[in-house]
Amino acid sequence: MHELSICYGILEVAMGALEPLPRPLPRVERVTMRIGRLTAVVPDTLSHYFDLLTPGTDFEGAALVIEEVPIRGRCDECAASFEIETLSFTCPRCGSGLVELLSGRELEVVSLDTAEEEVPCAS
Amino acid sequence: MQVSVLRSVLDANDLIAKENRKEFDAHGCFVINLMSAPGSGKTAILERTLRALEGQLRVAVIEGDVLGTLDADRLVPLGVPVVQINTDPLFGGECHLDARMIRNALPALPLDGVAVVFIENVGNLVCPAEFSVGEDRKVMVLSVAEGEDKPLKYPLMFRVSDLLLLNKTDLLEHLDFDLLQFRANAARVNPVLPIIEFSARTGQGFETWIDWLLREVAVTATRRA
Repeated sequence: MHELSICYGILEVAMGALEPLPRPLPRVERVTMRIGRLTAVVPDTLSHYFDLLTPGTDFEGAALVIEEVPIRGRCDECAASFEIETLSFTCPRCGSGLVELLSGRELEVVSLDTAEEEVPCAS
Repeated sequence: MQVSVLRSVLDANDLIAKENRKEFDAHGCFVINLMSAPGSGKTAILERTLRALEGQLRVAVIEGDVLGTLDADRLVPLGVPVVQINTDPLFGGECHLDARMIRNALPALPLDGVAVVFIENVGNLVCPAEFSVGEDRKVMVLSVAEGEDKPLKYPLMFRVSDLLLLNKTDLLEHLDFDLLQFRANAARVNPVLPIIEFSARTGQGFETWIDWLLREVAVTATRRA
């Protein structure tokens, strides 16, 4: 439901990353994100908004690539680290409930891929 | 060419949340971000809480709704400063409060001498969980009418909360709500989440909630000192 504001956030971060590049800007082909599985974000909806918001911007025509990040935790008691696949935040080794989240809440823009310099067509 | 970015989309929000927190800290305010689905009883809980704290602690409230001032109107007669944020006209009908909205609301809220600020978030079990607003504690409300499966459907909200008020327990006799199963579901997602069985209507669990609140206020004041 809040994918729209997340999408504005993505564009803000991505635009900031383009700022230091020399002009004219190359065409952006891909914006790659890492999204943790514990975030309340629906990747399809995010892609949909991305396609709606980008026309007329430096990201027009770019694809939003989303890499999902598994939920991982580390036990505060016995220091075991493990993947949390079934939303059970209890340590599988010692049964403690004091589990620190290592990953799963990412909402990161990882990188931008730009097009190689275009060679003008001779004919 | 690949441009490395590696920045969280929530950085901008978290930065403003930290500024809000500094502002609250400077005034010695303990701040609660109160979250739940629509109709779980956040405002009713606030009404009762404000009455209980009258004469003990000075309180201020920030109300978040997509539209209207219905909730703020209920709290104004209780004599506390209330600011209403509507996410509709200014913020595109957002389904949650974010740190920027709170920052914009702060100039209208007198914080001097205020011990506790309640921020009643927009009714929604999904999005508010993602956005810090500068609070000290996140408190969530779930009413028993919503069903015992909710921790498994909205894990992030249950994971980020510091306290759960399980509201409307006076309705339990009319419902199939399985309390043991609910506690098991909640414990699976957040084994250390304290749960208070609660009824804003009858007052069940109310003393425990006020005790928790006063203790947290004291702990936070000690931490700041």
